[in-house]
Amino acid sequence: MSVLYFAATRDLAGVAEERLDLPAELDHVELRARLAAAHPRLAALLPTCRFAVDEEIVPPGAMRLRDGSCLALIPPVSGG
Amino acid sequence: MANVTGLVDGPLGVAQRSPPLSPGNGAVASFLGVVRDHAKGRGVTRLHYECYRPMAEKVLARIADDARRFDPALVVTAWHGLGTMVPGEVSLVLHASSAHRGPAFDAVRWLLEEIKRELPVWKRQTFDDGSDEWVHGS
Repeated sequence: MSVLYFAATRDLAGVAEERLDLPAELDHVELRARLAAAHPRLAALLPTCRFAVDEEIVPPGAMRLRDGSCLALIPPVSGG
Repeated sequence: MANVTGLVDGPLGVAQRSPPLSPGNGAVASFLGVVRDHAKGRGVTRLHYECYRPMAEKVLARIADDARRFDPALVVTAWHGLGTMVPGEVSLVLHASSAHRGPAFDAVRWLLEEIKRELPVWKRQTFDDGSDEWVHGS
């Protein structure tokens, strides 16, 4: 599964896009734990991030990922 | 008329700042977001905007469609600039066109707040001492 990082999350992860092996079903708590394990510097920012799967924000709780899904970390936005 | 929305490279110019006019819509309310030269009491020399483009394009179009809650005949124009901009340049243009002023004013304010809350765009600000930081939430 490909994972996209933007803005501060990209700087902290040190990568804009990568492939990570993630379970097909997991909740936000587990996802944050896995991302923090992959990128310890991200840990402090993760509680503020939302997640998008295939360009749609996923509500808190369980999420379903399929092979070929694209997961994006969405830190607090600041457009305008 | 259909809504027109998009994210474009660079500051927004005269073309984007001109609202579409139609004889049936007697009111156009517009908002311009201008790069400010200060933040948190410090001087700002430039902003850099980036986005998650495919998602941002969808979200911006959806927000424009949702603004029809104020008037089914509302026509929205929404442009967001990307990349590096200096103070005084225009980063956001919104036009809400309606038969009457009430829905136009209400919609343009609502559009702005929704964009600030939902659009996956991020800005990095550079201060006059050369330091910079991502802005989180605004």
